[in-house]
Amino acid sequence: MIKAAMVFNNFGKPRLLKFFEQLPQTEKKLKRDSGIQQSILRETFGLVTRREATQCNFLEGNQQIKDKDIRIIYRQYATLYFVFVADKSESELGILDLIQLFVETLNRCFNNVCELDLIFHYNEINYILSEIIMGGMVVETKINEIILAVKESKSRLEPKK
Amino acid sequence: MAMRGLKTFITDLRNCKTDEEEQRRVNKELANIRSNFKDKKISGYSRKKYVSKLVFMNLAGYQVSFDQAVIEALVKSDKYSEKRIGYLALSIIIQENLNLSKNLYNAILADLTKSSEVGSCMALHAISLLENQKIATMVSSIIYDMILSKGVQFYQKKKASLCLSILIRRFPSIIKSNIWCEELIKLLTYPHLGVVTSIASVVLVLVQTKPEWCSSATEYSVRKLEKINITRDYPKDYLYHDVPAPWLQIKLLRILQYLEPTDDQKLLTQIEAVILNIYNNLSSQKKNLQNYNIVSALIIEAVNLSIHLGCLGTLIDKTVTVLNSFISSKDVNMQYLGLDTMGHLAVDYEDLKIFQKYKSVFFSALNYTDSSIQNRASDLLFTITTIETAKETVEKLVALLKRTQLGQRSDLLAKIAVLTEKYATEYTWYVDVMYDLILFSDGDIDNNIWKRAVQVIMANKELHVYAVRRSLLVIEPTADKNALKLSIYLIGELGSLISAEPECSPMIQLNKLELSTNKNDSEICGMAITAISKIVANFPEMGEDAIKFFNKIKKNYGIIIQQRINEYIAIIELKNPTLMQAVFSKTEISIGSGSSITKQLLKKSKSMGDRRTWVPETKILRHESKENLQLTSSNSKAQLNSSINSGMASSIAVEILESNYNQLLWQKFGYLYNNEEIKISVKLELLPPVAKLLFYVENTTNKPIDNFSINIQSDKNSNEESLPAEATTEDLCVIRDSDYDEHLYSGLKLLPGIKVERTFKFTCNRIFYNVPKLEISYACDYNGTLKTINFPVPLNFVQFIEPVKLSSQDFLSRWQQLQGSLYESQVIFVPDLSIVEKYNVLKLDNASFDKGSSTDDDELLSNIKAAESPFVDISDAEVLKSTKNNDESANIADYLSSVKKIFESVGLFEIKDLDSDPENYTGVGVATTNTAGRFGTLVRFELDSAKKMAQLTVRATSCDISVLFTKKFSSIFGK
Repeated sequence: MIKAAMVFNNFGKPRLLKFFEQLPQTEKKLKRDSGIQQSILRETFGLVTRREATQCNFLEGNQQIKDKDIRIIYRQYATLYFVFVADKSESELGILDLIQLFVETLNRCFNNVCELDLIFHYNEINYILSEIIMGGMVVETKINEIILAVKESKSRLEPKK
Repeated sequence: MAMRGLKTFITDLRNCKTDEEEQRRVNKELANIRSNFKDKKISGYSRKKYVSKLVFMNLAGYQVSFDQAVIEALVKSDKYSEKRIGYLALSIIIQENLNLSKNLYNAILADLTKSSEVGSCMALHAISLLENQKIATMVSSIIYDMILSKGVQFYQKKKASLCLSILIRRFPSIIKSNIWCEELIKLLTYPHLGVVTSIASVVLVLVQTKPEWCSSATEYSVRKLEKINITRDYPKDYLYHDVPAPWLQIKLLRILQYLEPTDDQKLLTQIEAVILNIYNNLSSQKKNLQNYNIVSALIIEAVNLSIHLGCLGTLIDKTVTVLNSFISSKDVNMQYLGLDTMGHLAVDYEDLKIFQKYKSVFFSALNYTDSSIQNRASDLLFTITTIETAKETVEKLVALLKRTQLGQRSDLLAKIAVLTEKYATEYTWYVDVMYDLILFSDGDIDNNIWKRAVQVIMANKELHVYAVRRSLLVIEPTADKNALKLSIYLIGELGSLISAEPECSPMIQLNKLELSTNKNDSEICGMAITAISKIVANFPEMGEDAIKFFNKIKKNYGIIIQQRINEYIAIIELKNPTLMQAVFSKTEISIGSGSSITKQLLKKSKSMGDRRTWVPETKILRHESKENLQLTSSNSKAQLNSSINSGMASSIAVEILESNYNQLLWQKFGYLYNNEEIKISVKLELLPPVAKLLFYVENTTNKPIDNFSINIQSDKNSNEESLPAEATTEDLCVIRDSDYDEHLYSGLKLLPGIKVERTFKFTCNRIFYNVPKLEISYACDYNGTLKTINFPVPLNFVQFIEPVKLSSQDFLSRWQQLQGSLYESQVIFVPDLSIVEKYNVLKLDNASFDKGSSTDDDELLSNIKAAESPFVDISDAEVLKSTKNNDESANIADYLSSVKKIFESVGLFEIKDLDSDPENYTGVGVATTNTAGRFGTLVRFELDSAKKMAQLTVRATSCDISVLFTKKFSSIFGK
């Protein structure tokens, strides 16, 4: 299963943080620190940005995610890193293409997506992701179906308007 | 998104120039939100706006807490946009593992059942994040119905399936029955491929948790794969870059990997055709990156499946070719996956030869700067190493280690240490590599590694001299901490071995140890002062220097070390060499049943998420042989031995067994049994009431033996697991403590010429007559049937007797106290003079009785014995014949000394000054049991050589022991 989906820029600023498992509770000491989430983000950022473009898109291990047997699968688009964390039951290349699919979907929804779109529409990004991944499992892989689901859900709930 | 306030807030934050400024803006907003939330009549819109701001702050890393009542109101709202943000905030609360209010739970459950499709999908999302067993059990049947019901939309069906698959993964107990499973599996034929993909996720979890209920999944998966791959029957809109429904195909290929390979020939042929079809896609032109990636993803999964199926027929060559093309591809991702999957193949595929061809490719992968690729390559090399390639592989891995960053070496270090130990053929190599590892790693090394090195070195005598010489060279104050510890320990234990060599005098050793304390590390200092005291124990003339030094450094350390130094000084000042020897005698280290390094590797491979279909280290762990150094000389001896023994029929073996068992009463190591395929020796380590039996099993054929298991069957109810609580009721019971790992005792593969050591521990609760059986089984080479050998473990109650020092007066007074049939047993018998040659106790060097002697020596000795004994027997018999009449008295004397020797070795203390008659023996020992206490055992043996009669009298605090003892030994010593 997919354990987490993260999007951050090359300064480590998060644009999307989604975990599909409950995270262990940690002591919250600093005011500007929402605990383990940010700390996983920082570790992942450190691991991923250290790598060069010529190296492969797979990384092993993030100390803070419960399951040790995981792979970090990432892809860089301009200033943004898209990172999925998955266990060994997922095909690495399958996930890599899922990232591509996610980005293509964003592109279709926002007409040439850029970082600013992700910032100002951060909740929209979450909804789009939820049509692709649910609870760590892939829901749909067909772009048209995903976009349809995102657009239609509003009319499905409020059919009169 | 029509929330102006939110947009302004985000813009404001982005315009902040410093963190402090940003923090101020956030605080201001938080205050604003708090005051607004106090207003009971807050509008839905404002609620949405403020919660959106809080969600954003959370993403930006600020610590915010949500008001659960506000979230509840949003979740319950009819407005889509409000509900959505409510659920988004809810997912953050769940993700952070905070307690949800009852009302929130109820709101979710209400949405699941009563709300619109969209609402119930949102509820499903939330439930999929909840790790709450009560909720999971409650909703599982609702969700199940949703999946099966005809009236539910695809959209909702998909989410319901995924939600169920996650709940099952967390709480397997919600799987209700096999019918339940079968109904879900049938849905793999559902017309909508999107739904099928989600169903496949459920089935994938089912086959992992309840494979016995999912046998039909094989057929359904194969049929679906065939439909997509061979008959090409699929909706065109599910083509992803020209590949039909790849994610579904990957899932189906995975499902098959978790199920036992089918024996349905037709299905197998179909699977093979599907795999070949997927392989063939590789050769087609690279269209674009997406197409290339997804085709490769399918190929990797197909390879994994064909490995699982045992690489039928022609598939193996194709598989290796495909993987090799990945590894040599220009694309780094392919190299990574190629190496990873090749590692999988290597774990499952026996013939390691097919990998040697590509060895240089694997080695060159180590030179990549990418640590992911290095890791895969080192895992792979670790798996395919054989005794021939070990040296080269270790050399390359050590080179890699030197390039690896600090902090990331532990895994690699453990691998090198395990390989070196397993394949060491020359003792210098083992010691050199271990020192290289420890010296080089500069503190970045697990403590286990140097400790293991100590164990291995101490347990192998032939390593001693070389290792201690090396230690003396290494021990410099500037050396690495761990290297210092290893060196200090070895010099302390073994320094005396080289004290006569130049530059190695006790004085020099002492000086070097003194210098090593310069680091001011109290652990090192503690080890150094003990080592120094050990030198003084061997060379009392060093005492003065040691005390001087101790006094000098005492002040630099804490109270514990000071205390210890004072104690050492006090002992040395007593100038009592016997006491010194006793206190600082050589520490006996047994090699132990499981090395902690391999355990560390094992621990790493235990995963919590999806069960892996394979784990890189399993192969070596399965094969792990704790007999570490296979010296070539002992191998050739073993061969000689087996060639002699192979002539014996199995019926003779039983006879041999009897005398072997007797011999093991007093010998701590011996040969137990052999047949055409295996040879078993046993070593006994006693610490009454606990006894440890170490069985050494060697494959004496030239082929691997499969499916080897070794286990102890309790005598009474062999089927039941003996629980510790029940076990205590048995007289002699097996202890299975935390060290016991089932996997290391069954399903093993024995490689030719390699010895495997397996340990069992027993506790003696009270006097026992029956012993558990050792059961060994393995697949016979010629027809594959399972061969089982059973024999009682070589334990007898008399082995739990230990010598106890007693003066002759004390002995006499006890002897008198224990008069009468309550305590005494007496047997008169005709001495059997042949035991002198039969058991040969006098001919054997004393060393074999020495508990501390290493197994290799014992092994060698018993090999020599076994190899030579036919000749010795014949010549002895001839000698005996010719001299029979002439020298009978000499035989009697030999007989008597044999008896004495045996009593002594069993564990009796001889009371020498009690009896003037040289033909009598008096001894005493004490038997220790776990629950029944200790039993004094007094033994008197009287021989009348003139009448050719002998009498054995035993008085013990329990008559049972007396009877057991007299019976056993009269049958051994008498005719």
